[in-house]
Amino acid sequence: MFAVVDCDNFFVSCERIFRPDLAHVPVVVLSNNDGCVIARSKEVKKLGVKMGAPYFQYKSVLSSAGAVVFSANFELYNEISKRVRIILEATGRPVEHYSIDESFLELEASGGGSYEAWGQALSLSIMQWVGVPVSVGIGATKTLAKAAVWYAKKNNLTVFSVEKSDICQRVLQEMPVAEVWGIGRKISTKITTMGVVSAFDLIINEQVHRLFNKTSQGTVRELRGEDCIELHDHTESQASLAVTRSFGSGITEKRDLAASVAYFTRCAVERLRDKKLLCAGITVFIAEKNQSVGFSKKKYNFKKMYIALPYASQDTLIISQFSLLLVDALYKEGIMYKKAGVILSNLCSQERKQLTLDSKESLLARESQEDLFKKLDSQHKKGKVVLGVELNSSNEWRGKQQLKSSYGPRLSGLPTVNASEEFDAIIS
Amino acid sequence: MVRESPLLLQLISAGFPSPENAEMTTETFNVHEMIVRNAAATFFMRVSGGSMQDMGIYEGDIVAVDRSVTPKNNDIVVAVLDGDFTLKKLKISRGTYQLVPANKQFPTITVRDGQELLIWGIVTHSIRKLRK
Repeated sequence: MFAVVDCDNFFVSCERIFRPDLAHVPVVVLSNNDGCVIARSKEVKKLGVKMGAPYFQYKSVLSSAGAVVFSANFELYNEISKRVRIILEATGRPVEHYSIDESFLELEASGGGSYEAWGQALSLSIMQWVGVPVSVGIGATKTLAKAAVWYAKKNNLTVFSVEKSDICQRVLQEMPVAEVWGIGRKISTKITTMGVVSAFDLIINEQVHRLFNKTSQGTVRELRGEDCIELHDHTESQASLAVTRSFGSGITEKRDLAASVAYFTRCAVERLRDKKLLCAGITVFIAEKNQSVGFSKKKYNFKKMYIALPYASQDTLIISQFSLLLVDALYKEGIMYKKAGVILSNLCSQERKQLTLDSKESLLARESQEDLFKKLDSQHKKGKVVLGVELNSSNEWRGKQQLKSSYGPRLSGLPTVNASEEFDAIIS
Repeated sequence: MVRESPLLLQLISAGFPSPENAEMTTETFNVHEMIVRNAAATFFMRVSGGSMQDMGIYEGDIVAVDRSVTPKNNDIVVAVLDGDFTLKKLKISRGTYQLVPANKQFPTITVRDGQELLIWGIVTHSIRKLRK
Protein backbone atom coordinates (compact mmCIF):
# COMPACT_ATOMS: atom_id res chain seq x y z
CA MET A 1 0.00 0.00 0.00
CA PHE A 2 1.19 3.48 -0.82
CA ALA A 3 0.24 7.03 0.08
CA VAL A 4 1.17 10.14 -1.85
CA VAL A 5 1.23 13.44 0.04
CA ASP A 6 0.89 16.38 -2.30
CA CYS A 7 1.06 19.98 -1.06
CA ASP A 8 -1.77 22.09 -2.50
CA ASN A 9 -0.67 25.08 -4.61
CA PHE A 10 2.61 24.72 -2.77
CA PHE A 11 4.41 27.99 -3.53
CA VAL A 12 1.25 30.00 -2.87
CA SER A 13 0.65 28.13 0.38
CA CYS A 14 4.23 28.89 1.48
CA GLU A 15 3.73 32.61 0.85
CA ARG A 16 0.49 32.55 2.81
CA ILE A 17 2.09 31.10 5.96
CA PHE A 18 3.46 34.51 6.87
CA ARG A 19 0.66 36.47 5.22
CA PRO A 20 -2.52 35.32 6.96
CA ASP A 21 -4.26 38.34 5.45
CA LEU A 22 -4.00 36.60 2.05
CA ALA A 23 -5.90 33.47 3.13
CA HIS A 24 -8.78 34.14 0.73
CA VAL A 25 -7.11 36.60 -1.64
CA PRO A 26 -6.05 35.48 -5.15
CA VAL A 27 -2.28 34.88 -5.11
CA VAL A 28 0.14 34.00 -7.92
CA VAL A 29 3.83 33.22 -7.85
CA LEU A 30 5.99 34.08 -10.86
CA SER A 31 9.12 32.41 -12.19
CA ASN A 32 12.53 33.88 -11.58
CA ASN A 33 12.36 36.67 -14.10
CA ASP A 34 8.73 37.32 -13.27
CA GLY A 35 7.98 35.94 -16.70
CA CYS A 36 5.56 33.09 -16.09
CA VAL A 37 2.94 32.02 -13.61
CA ILE A 38 4.32 29.02 -11.72
CA ALA A 39 1.79 28.76 -8.87
CA ARG A 40 -1.81 29.80 -8.53
CA SER A 41 -4.18 29.94 -5.61
CA LYS A 42 -7.64 28.39 -5.96
CA GLU A 43 -9.07 31.87 -6.62
CA VAL A 44 -6.60 32.47 -9.45
CA LYS A 45 -7.38 29.11 -11.07
CA LYS A 46 -11.05 30.19 -11.11
CA LEU A 47 -10.06 33.32 -13.04
CA GLY A 48 -8.87 31.00 -15.79
CA VAL A 49 -5.19 31.83 -15.42
CA LYS A 50 -3.22 28.94 -16.86
CA MET A 51 -0.20 27.31 -15.28
CA GLY A 52 3.01 28.39 -16.98
CA ALA A 53 1.27 31.24 -18.80
CA PRO A 54 3.18 34.47 -19.45
CA TYR A 55 2.39 36.93 -16.68
CA PHE A 56 1.75 39.90 -19.00
CA GLN A 57 -1.09 38.00 -20.62
CA TYR A 58 -3.07 38.00 -17.37
CA LYS A 59 -1.67 41.09 -15.70
CA SER A 60 -4.85 43.17 -16.03
CA VAL A 61 -7.17 40.27 -15.14
CA LEU A 62 -5.14 39.62 -12.01
CA SER A 63 -4.89 43.22 -10.92
CA SER A 64 -8.60 43.88 -11.37
CA ALA A 65 -9.31 40.80 -9.24
CA GLY A 66 -7.08 42.26 -6.51
CA ALA A 67 -4.56 39.45 -6.83
CA VAL A 68 -1.30 39.62 -4.92
CA VAL A 69 1.73 38.70 -7.02
CA PHE A 70 4.97 37.23 -5.66
CA SER A 71 8.29 36.55 -7.30
CA ALA A 72 9.45 33.05 -6.53
CA ASN A 73 11.29 32.70 -3.22
CA PHE A 74 12.82 29.27 -3.48
CA GLU A 75 14.76 29.57 -0.23
CA LEU A 76 11.43 29.79 1.55
CA TYR A 77 9.83 26.97 -0.44
CA ASN A 78 12.78 24.72 0.28
CA GLU A 79 12.63 25.45 3.98
CA ILE A 80 8.91 24.69 4.14
CA SER A 81 9.38 21.56 2.04
CA LYS A 82 12.04 20.39 4.49
CA ARG A 83 9.62 20.81 7.39
CA VAL A 84 6.93 18.77 5.66
CA ARG A 85 9.55 16.09 5.06
CA ILE A 86 10.49 16.04 8.75
CA ILE A 87 6.88 15.27 9.62
CA LEU A 88 6.58 12.57 6.95
CA GLU A 89 9.79 10.92 8.13
CA ALA A 90 8.54 11.02 11.71
CA THR A 91 5.76 8.61 10.69
CA GLY A 92 8.48 5.97 10.68
CA ARG A 93 7.42 4.65 7.29
CA PRO A 94 9.70 4.52 4.24
CA VAL A 95 9.43 7.85 2.40
CA GLU A 96 10.38 8.91 -1.09
CA HIS A 97 10.64 12.65 -1.53
CA TYR A 98 9.57 12.83 -5.12
CA SER A 99 9.66 16.57 -5.66
CA ILE A 100 9.64 19.79 -3.66
CA ASP A 101 5.92 19.40 -2.93
CA GLU A 102 5.22 15.71 -3.27
CA SER A 103 6.26 12.55 -1.38
CA PHE A 104 5.38 8.87 -1.40
CA LEU A 105 5.06 6.76 1.74
CA GLU A 106 5.00 2.99 1.82
CA LEU A 107 2.36 1.51 4.12
CA GLU A 108 1.77 -2.02 5.31
CA ALA A 109 -1.23 -3.80 3.80
CA SER A 110 -4.27 -2.47 5.62
CA GLY A 111 -5.86 -5.90 6.02
CA GLY A 112 -9.42 -4.82 5.33
CA GLY A 113 -9.11 -1.59 7.28
CA SER A 114 -8.50 1.81 5.77
CA TYR A 115 -5.76 4.38 5.91
CA GLU A 116 -8.18 7.24 5.45
CA ALA A 117 -8.23 8.29 9.12
CA TRP A 118 -4.45 8.02 9.22
CA GLY A 119 -4.25 10.31 6.18
CA GLN A 120 -6.61 12.81 7.80
CA ALA A 121 -4.45 12.95 10.94
CA LEU A 122 -1.29 13.38 8.89
CA SER A 123 -2.68 16.23 6.81
CA LEU A 124 -3.95 17.93 9.96
CA SER A 125 -0.50 17.76 11.58
CA ILE A 126 1.14 19.25 8.51
CA MET A 127 -1.46 22.03 8.36
CA GLN A 128 -1.12 22.86 12.05
CA TRP A 129 2.64 22.51 12.45
CA VAL A 130 3.90 23.88 9.17
CA GLY A 131 0.86 25.75 7.88
CA VAL A 132 0.49 24.30 4.39
CA PRO A 133 -2.54 22.34 3.18
CA VAL A 134 -1.87 18.92 1.65
CA SER A 135 -3.90 16.32 -0.21
CA VAL A 136 -3.34 12.64 0.48
CA GLY A 137 -4.04 9.81 -1.97
CA ILE A 138 -3.93 6.17 -0.91
CA GLY A 139 -3.79 3.10 -3.14
CA ALA A 140 -2.29 -0.33 -3.65
CA THR A 141 0.47 1.02 -5.93
CA LYS A 142 2.19 4.36 -6.44
CA THR A 143 0.26 4.89 -9.67
CA LEU A 144 -3.06 4.18 -7.91
CA ALA A 145 -2.13 6.50 -5.02
CA LYS A 146 -1.52 9.20 -7.64
CA ALA A 147 -4.94 8.45 -9.14
CA ALA A 148 -6.47 8.80 -5.66
CA VAL A 149 -4.83 12.18 -5.06
CA TRP A 150 -5.94 13.33 -8.52
CA TYR A 151 -9.51 12.51 -7.48
CA ALA A 152 -9.08 14.17 -4.06
CA LYS A 153 -7.88 17.44 -5.61
CA LYS A 154 -10.58 17.45 -8.22
CA ASN A 155 -13.30 17.05 -5.61
CA ASN A 156 -11.84 19.25 -2.88
CA LEU A 157 -11.21 16.34 -0.54
CA THR A 158 -8.21 16.30 1.77
CA VAL A 159 -7.83 12.53 1.71
CA PHE A 160 -9.03 9.96 -0.77
CA SER A 161 -8.38 6.24 -0.79
CA VAL A 162 -8.82 3.74 -3.61
CA GLU A 163 -8.08 0.79 -1.33
CA LYS A 164 -11.52 -0.67 -2.08
CA SER A 165 -11.67 -2.18 -5.57
CA ASP A 166 -15.14 -0.83 -6.49
CA ILE A 167 -14.11 2.72 -5.59
CA CYS A 168 -10.84 2.25 -7.43
CA GLN A 169 -12.64 1.15 -10.60
CA ARG A 170 -15.02 4.12 -10.44
CA VAL A 171 -12.09 6.58 -10.14
CA LEU A 172 -10.20 4.97 -13.02
CA GLN A 173 -13.29 5.14 -15.21
CA GLU A 174 -13.53 8.85 -14.49
CA MET A 175 -9.82 9.56 -14.95
CA PRO A 176 -8.66 10.68 -18.42
CA VAL A 177 -5.71 8.72 -19.76
CA ALA A 178 -3.59 11.86 -19.97
CA GLU A 179 -3.85 12.28 -16.18
CA VAL A 180 -2.36 8.86 -15.45
CA TRP A 181 1.07 9.05 -13.84
CA GLY A 182 3.68 7.75 -16.28
CA ILE A 183 1.60 8.12 -19.45
CA GLY A 184 3.19 10.73 -21.67
CA ARG A 185 1.36 13.36 -23.67
CA LYS A 186 2.20 11.94 -27.08
CA ILE A 187 1.05 8.42 -26.31
CA SER A 188 -2.10 9.59 -24.54
CA THR A 189 -3.13 11.69 -27.56
CA LYS A 190 -2.53 8.71 -29.80
CA ILE A 191 -4.48 6.15 -27.80
CA THR A 192 -7.33 8.56 -27.10
CA THR A 193 -8.01 8.65 -30.85
CA MET A 194 -8.09 4.84 -30.70
CA GLY A 195 -10.94 5.01 -28.19
CA VAL A 196 -8.87 4.52 -25.05
CA VAL A 197 -10.15 7.49 -23.10
CA SER A 198 -10.09 6.64 -19.40
CA ALA A 199 -7.52 4.99 -17.16
CA PHE A 200 -9.90 2.05 -16.94
CA ASP A 201 -10.00 1.74 -20.76
CA LEU A 202 -6.24 1.55 -20.60
CA ILE A 203 -6.40 -1.52 -18.38
CA ILE A 204 -8.90 -3.45 -20.47
CA ASN A 205 -7.70 -2.60 -24.01
CA GLU A 206 -4.82 -4.98 -24.34
CA GLN A 207 -4.24 -4.20 -28.00
CA VAL A 208 -2.80 -0.76 -27.18
CA HIS A 209 -0.25 -2.20 -24.75
CA ARG A 210 2.07 -3.27 -27.55
CA LEU A 211 2.50 0.42 -28.46
CA PHE A 212 3.99 0.96 -25.04
CA ASN A 213 7.55 0.93 -23.86
CA LYS A 214 8.55 -0.85 -20.69
CA THR A 215 7.79 2.11 -18.46
CA SER A 216 4.24 2.52 -19.72
CA GLN A 217 3.63 -1.23 -19.51
CA GLY A 218 4.65 -1.00 -15.86
CA THR A 219 2.11 1.79 -15.46
CA VAL A 220 -0.67 -0.46 -16.78
CA ARG A 221 0.29 -3.22 -14.35
CA GLU A 222 0.32 -0.69 -11.53
CA LEU A 223 -3.20 0.45 -12.45
CA ARG A 224 -4.25 -3.18 -12.08
CA GLY A 225 -2.89 -3.12 -8.56
CA GLU A 226 0.34 -4.94 -9.25
CA ASP A 227 3.13 -3.16 -7.40
CA CYS A 228 5.91 -2.47 -9.96
CA ILE A 229 7.45 0.86 -9.10
CA GLU A 230 9.37 0.67 -5.90
CA LEU A 231 9.87 3.48 -3.49
CA HIS A 232 12.99 5.28 -4.51
CA ASP A 233 15.10 6.40 -1.60
CA HIS A 234 16.66 9.61 -2.80
CA THR A 235 18.74 10.14 0.31
CA GLU A 236 20.42 6.73 0.17
CA SER A 237 20.74 5.80 -3.46
CA GLN A 238 20.82 9.31 -4.81
CA ALA A 239 23.19 9.71 -7.64
CA SER A 240 24.80 13.03 -8.29
CA LEU A 241 26.77 14.63 -11.01
CA ALA A 242 29.34 17.24 -10.16
CA VAL A 243 31.47 19.70 -12.04
CA THR A 244 34.02 21.49 -9.91
CA ARG A 245 37.34 23.18 -10.35
CA SER A 246 39.87 25.40 -8.70
CA PHE A 247 40.60 28.87 -9.99
CA GLY A 248 44.29 29.41 -10.58
CA SER A 249 44.50 32.98 -9.43
CA GLY A 250 41.25 33.24 -7.50
CA ILE A 251 38.07 35.20 -8.09
CA THR A 252 36.76 38.22 -6.21
CA GLU A 253 34.22 39.68 -8.63
CA LYS A 254 30.66 38.42 -8.50
CA ARG A 255 30.27 38.49 -12.28
CA ASP A 256 33.29 36.20 -12.64
CA LEU A 257 31.94 33.81 -10.07
CA ALA A 258 28.53 33.85 -11.79
CA ALA A 259 30.20 33.24 -15.16
CA SER A 260 32.18 30.29 -13.86
CA VAL A 261 29.18 28.74 -12.11
CA ALA A 262 27.09 29.21 -15.28
CA TYR A 263 29.83 27.44 -17.23
CA PHE A 264 29.98 24.56 -14.73
CA THR A 265 26.20 24.29 -14.88
CA ARG A 266 26.21 24.14 -18.67
CA CYS A 267 28.86 21.39 -18.64
CA ALA A 268 27.07 19.41 -15.94
CA VAL A 269 23.72 19.63 -17.73
CA GLU A 270 25.32 18.52 -21.00
CA ARG A 271 26.52 15.39 -19.20
CA LEU A 272 23.07 14.98 -17.69
CA ARG A 273 21.53 14.93 -21.17
CA ASP A 274 24.23 12.53 -22.38
CA LYS A 275 23.14 10.09 -19.71
CA LYS A 276 19.44 10.68 -20.47
CA LEU A 277 18.81 11.91 -16.95
CA LEU A 278 16.88 14.74 -15.35
CA CYS A 279 17.85 16.44 -12.13
CA ALA A 280 15.52 17.84 -9.50
CA GLY A 281 18.04 19.45 -7.18
CA ILE A 282 21.15 21.55 -7.50
CA THR A 283 23.91 22.50 -5.09
CA VAL A 284 26.43 25.26 -5.64
CA PHE A 285 29.51 25.50 -3.49
CA ILE A 286 32.20 28.13 -3.34
CA ALA A 287 35.39 27.98 -1.33
CA GLU A 288 38.09 30.31 -0.06
CA LYS A 289 41.51 29.33 1.26
CA ASN A 290 41.42 28.49 4.93
CA GLN A 291 43.24 31.42 6.52
CA SER A 292 43.15 30.23 10.10
CA VAL A 293 46.36 28.83 11.48
CA GLY A 294 46.50 26.04 14.01
CA PHE A 295 45.24 22.51 14.07
CA SER A 296 42.80 22.78 11.23
CA LYS A 297 43.89 20.59 8.37
CA LYS A 298 41.31 21.89 6.02
CA LYS A 299 42.71 23.60 2.99
CA TYR A 300 39.50 25.39 2.07
CA ASN A 301 36.50 26.91 3.78
CA PHE A 302 33.45 25.74 1.89
CA LYS A 303 30.05 27.33 1.69
CA LYS A 304 27.32 25.46 -0.07
CA MET A 305 23.65 25.78 -0.70
CA TYR A 306 21.10 23.37 -2.12
CA ILE A 307 17.91 24.17 -3.92
CA ALA A 308 15.20 21.82 -5.14
CA LEU A 309 13.96 22.55 -8.64
CA PRO A 310 10.20 22.96 -9.07
CA TYR A 311 10.30 20.04 -11.53
CA ALA A 312 12.95 17.66 -12.80
CA SER A 313 14.77 19.16 -15.76
CA GLN A 314 17.68 18.79 -18.16
CA ASP A 315 17.32 22.30 -19.54
CA THR A 316 20.45 24.42 -19.27
CA LEU A 317 18.50 27.68 -19.15
CA ILE A 318 16.25 26.59 -16.31
CA ILE A 319 18.93 24.91 -14.21
CA SER A 320 21.38 27.77 -14.64
CA GLN A 321 18.75 30.22 -13.38
CA PHE A 322 18.76 28.32 -10.13
CA SER A 323 22.51 27.99 -9.89
CA LEU A 324 22.84 31.76 -10.39
CA LEU A 325 20.26 32.31 -7.65
CA LEU A 326 22.50 30.31 -5.35
CA VAL A 327 25.53 32.35 -6.38
CA ASP A 328 23.59 35.47 -5.40
CA ALA A 329 22.89 34.03 -1.98
CA LEU A 330 26.38 32.64 -1.35
CA TYR A 331 28.61 35.42 -2.69
CA LYS A 332 30.19 37.89 -0.29
CA GLU A 333 32.23 40.85 -1.36
CA GLY A 334 35.90 41.04 -0.50
CA ILE A 335 36.55 37.32 -0.45
CA MET A 336 39.03 35.64 -2.75
CA TYR A 337 37.34 32.48 -3.99
CA LYS A 338 39.68 29.68 -4.99
CA LYS A 339 37.27 26.95 -5.92
CA ALA A 340 33.65 26.48 -6.93
CA GLY A 341 31.39 23.76 -8.19
CA VAL A 342 27.95 22.67 -9.23
CA ILE A 343 26.37 19.40 -8.11
CA LEU A 344 23.24 18.12 -9.78
CA SER A 345 21.30 15.70 -7.59
CA ASN A 346 17.94 13.92 -7.26
CA LEU A 347 18.61 12.42 -10.67
CA CYS A 348 15.97 10.40 -12.43
CA SER A 349 15.60 8.87 -15.84
CA GLN A 350 13.99 11.12 -18.42
CA GLU A 351 11.37 8.47 -19.13
CA ARG A 352 9.49 9.02 -15.91
CA LYS A 353 9.42 12.72 -15.92
CA GLN A 354 7.02 14.71 -13.91
CA LEU A 355 4.99 17.42 -15.52
CA THR A 356 4.20 20.18 -13.12
CA LEU A 357 3.22 22.84 -15.56
CA ASP A 358 0.10 21.52 -17.11
CA SER A 359 -0.51 24.09 -19.80
CA LYS A 360 0.13 22.62 -23.19
CA GLU A 361 1.63 25.82 -24.55
CA SER A 362 4.29 26.09 -21.90
CA LEU A 363 4.97 22.38 -22.17
CA LEU A 364 5.49 22.65 -25.90
CA ALA A 365 7.69 25.68 -25.49
CA ARG A 366 9.80 23.87 -22.93
CA GLU A 367 10.02 20.70 -24.97
CA SER A 368 11.11 22.53 -28.06
CA GLN A 369 13.81 24.22 -25.99
CA GLU A 370 14.91 20.81 -24.75
CA ASP A 371 14.95 19.53 -28.33
CA LEU A 372 17.12 22.47 -29.22
CA PHE A 373 19.63 21.52 -26.55
CA LYS A 374 19.62 17.95 -27.79
CA LYS A 375 20.44 19.19 -31.30
CA LEU A 376 23.25 21.31 -29.95
CA ASP A 377 24.59 18.28 -28.10
CA SER A 378 24.38 15.95 -31.05
CA GLN A 379 25.94 18.10 -33.73
CA HIS A 380 29.31 18.32 -32.06
CA LYS A 381 28.55 21.86 -31.11
CA LYS A 382 29.30 21.48 -27.44
CA GLY A 383 30.92 24.57 -26.07
CA LYS A 384 30.09 26.62 -29.12
CA VAL A 385 26.82 27.85 -27.72
CA VAL A 386 27.27 29.37 -24.28
CA LEU A 387 25.15 31.25 -21.79
CA GLY A 388 25.24 35.02 -21.97
CA VAL A 389 26.31 35.32 -18.37
CA GLU A 390 29.44 33.29 -19.08
CA LEU A 391 30.64 36.02 -21.42
CA ASN A 392 30.09 38.78 -18.92
CA SER A 393 33.35 38.13 -17.15
CA SER A 394 37.01 38.91 -17.24
CA ASN A 395 37.89 35.30 -18.10
CA GLU A 396 40.58 35.25 -15.44
CA TRP A 397 38.94 32.29 -13.76
CA ARG A 398 39.36 30.00 -16.70
CA GLY A 399 42.79 28.99 -15.39
CA LYS A 400 44.69 26.11 -16.84
CA GLN A 401 43.24 23.06 -15.11
CA GLN A 402 41.17 20.57 -16.99
CA LEU A 403 37.51 20.43 -16.11
CA LYS A 404 36.95 17.84 -13.42
CA SER A 405 33.76 15.89 -13.22
CA SER A 406 32.77 13.10 -10.89
CA TYR A 407 29.74 10.92 -11.27
CA GLY A 408 28.93 8.63 -8.41
CA PRO A 409 26.19 7.12 -6.33
CA ARG A 410 27.15 9.05 -3.23
CA LEU A 411 28.23 12.48 -2.19
CA SER A 412 31.21 11.09 -0.33
CA GLY A 413 33.47 11.68 -3.29
CA LEU A 414 33.04 15.38 -2.79
CA PRO A 415 35.11 17.73 -0.66
CA THR A 416 34.06 18.12 2.94
CA VAL A 417 32.01 21.18 3.65
CA ASN A 418 31.37 23.40 6.62
CA ALA A 419 27.66 22.76 6.94
CA SER A 420 27.07 25.24 9.74
CA GLU A 421 27.62 28.19 7.47
CA GLU A 422 25.14 27.22 4.86
CA PHE A 423 22.43 29.73 5.40
CA ASP A 424 24.41 32.75 6.58
CA ALA A 425 23.78 34.46 3.32
CA ILE A 426 20.04 34.26 3.64
CA ILE A 427 19.87 35.44 7.20
CA SER A 428 22.01 38.51 6.80
CA MET B 1 3.25 43.42 17.28
CA VAL B 2 5.03 41.09 14.94
CA ARG B 3 5.07 43.06 11.75
CA GLU B 4 8.35 42.56 10.08
CA SER B 5 8.62 39.66 7.69
CA PRO B 6 9.46 36.53 9.61
CA LEU B 7 13.05 35.51 9.73
CA LEU B 8 13.86 32.04 8.70
CA LEU B 9 16.78 31.32 10.91
CA GLN B 10 17.33 27.78 9.80
CA LEU B 11 20.04 26.62 12.09
CA ILE B 12 18.50 23.20 11.94
CA SER B 13 19.18 20.59 9.33
CA ALA B 14 19.76 23.23 6.71
CA GLY B 15 20.91 21.94 3.37
CA PHE B 16 20.85 18.30 2.45
CA PRO B 17 21.76 15.46 4.76
CA SER B 18 25.42 14.67 4.55
CA PRO B 19 27.71 12.42 6.55
CA GLU B 20 29.60 15.45 7.81
CA ASN B 21 26.64 16.41 9.98
CA ALA B 22 27.13 13.31 12.07
CA GLU B 23 30.41 14.65 13.35
CA MET B 24 28.64 17.64 14.80
CA THR B 25 26.82 15.55 17.38
CA THR B 26 28.50 16.37 20.64
CA GLU B 27 27.67 16.20 24.29
CA THR B 28 28.07 19.93 24.72
CA PHE B 29 25.29 22.31 25.57
CA ASN B 30 23.36 23.30 22.48
CA VAL B 31 21.23 26.44 22.70
CA HIS B 32 19.39 25.62 19.53
CA GLU B 33 18.21 22.23 20.78
CA MET B 34 17.10 23.90 23.97
CA ILE B 35 14.89 26.33 22.09
CA VAL B 36 13.67 24.22 19.21
CA ARG B 37 11.69 21.28 20.57
CA ASN B 38 9.92 20.62 17.30
CA ALA B 39 11.99 21.53 14.25
CA ALA B 40 9.11 21.16 11.81
CA ALA B 41 6.83 23.47 13.76
CA THR B 42 9.16 26.13 15.20
CA PHE B 43 9.52 29.47 13.45
CA PHE B 44 11.50 32.53 14.45
CA MET B 45 10.02 36.01 14.20
CA ARG B 46 11.35 39.47 14.84
CA VAL B 47 9.35 41.60 17.28
CA SER B 48 8.36 45.12 16.36
CA GLY B 49 6.58 47.53 18.70
CA GLY B 50 6.57 47.60 22.49
CA SER B 51 3.24 46.11 23.52
CA MET B 52 4.90 43.26 25.44
CA GLN B 53 7.79 45.14 27.02
CA ASP B 54 6.60 44.74 30.62
CA MET B 55 7.12 41.01 30.15
CA GLY B 56 10.62 41.60 28.90
CA ILE B 57 9.93 41.26 25.20
CA TYR B 58 11.23 44.33 23.42
CA GLU B 59 11.26 45.71 19.92
CA GLY B 60 13.93 43.95 17.87
CA ASP B 61 13.91 40.74 19.93
CA ILE B 62 13.59 37.43 18.16
CA VAL B 63 10.90 35.07 19.42
CA ALA B 64 10.69 31.33 18.90
CA VAL B 65 7.15 30.33 17.97
CA ASP B 66 6.01 26.72 18.23
CA ARG B 67 2.93 25.86 16.17
CA SER B 68 2.58 22.33 17.55
CA VAL B 69 1.71 23.39 21.11
CA THR B 70 -1.93 23.65 22.18
CA PRO B 71 -2.60 27.16 23.52
CA LYS B 72 -3.60 27.52 27.15
CA ASN B 73 -4.50 30.42 29.44
CA ASN B 74 -1.64 32.92 29.98
CA ASP B 75 0.43 31.69 27.02
CA ILE B 76 2.16 34.37 25.00
CA VAL B 77 0.92 33.82 21.49
CA VAL B 78 1.30 35.02 17.95
CA ALA B 79 -2.33 35.57 17.05
CA VAL B 80 -3.96 36.50 13.79
CA LEU B 81 -6.81 38.92 14.28
CA ASP B 82 -8.59 40.13 11.16
CA GLY B 83 -5.65 39.06 9.04
CA ASP B 84 -2.93 40.80 11.08
CA PHE B 85 -0.22 39.23 13.25
CA THR B 86 -0.15 40.37 16.85
CA LEU B 87 1.98 39.28 19.81
CA LYS B 88 -0.01 39.20 23.06
CA LYS B 89 -0.81 37.22 26.17
CA LEU B 90 -3.80 34.93 25.69
CA LYS B 91 -6.46 35.02 28.42
CA ILE B 92 -9.15 32.36 28.29
CA SER B 93 -11.94 32.62 30.82
CA ARG B 94 -15.45 31.23 30.66
CA GLY B 95 -15.53 30.98 26.91
CA THR B 96 -14.18 34.46 26.19
CA TYR B 97 -10.83 35.06 24.61
CA GLN B 98 -8.74 38.14 25.32
CA LEU B 99 -5.44 39.32 23.91
CA VAL B 100 -3.70 41.17 26.71
CA PRO B 101 -0.71 43.46 26.12
CA ALA B 102 2.08 43.87 28.66
CA ASN B 103 2.22 47.65 28.34
CA LYS B 104 -0.33 50.04 29.85
CA GLN B 105 -0.31 52.19 26.73
CA PHE B 106 -1.96 49.41 24.72
CA PRO B 107 -5.57 48.24 25.12
CA THR B 108 -6.72 44.71 25.91
CA ILE B 109 -8.48 43.18 22.93
CA THR B 110 -11.59 41.13 23.65
CA VAL B 111 -12.51 38.91 20.75
CA ARG B 112 -16.08 39.72 19.77
CA ASP B 113 -18.67 37.34 18.38
CA GLY B 114 -18.18 36.91 14.66
CA GLN B 115 -14.58 38.03 14.84
CA GLU B 116 -12.05 35.43 13.77
CA LEU B 117 -9.15 34.75 16.10
CA LEU B 118 -6.46 32.37 14.93
CA ILE B 119 -3.64 31.33 17.24
CA TRP B 120 -0.76 31.07 14.77
CA GLY B 121 1.69 29.72 17.33
CA ILE B 122 2.87 29.82 20.94
CA VAL B 123 5.92 31.87 21.91
CA THR B 124 8.30 29.60 23.80
CA HIS B 125 11.44 31.77 24.02
CA SER B 126 12.62 35.25 23.29
CA ILE B 127 16.16 36.09 22.31
CA ARG B 128 17.70 39.51 22.87
CA LYS B 129 21.15 40.79 22.17
CA LEU B 130 22.29 42.74 25.22
CA ARG B 131 25.53 44.24 23.97
CA LYS B 132 24.81 46.75 21.25
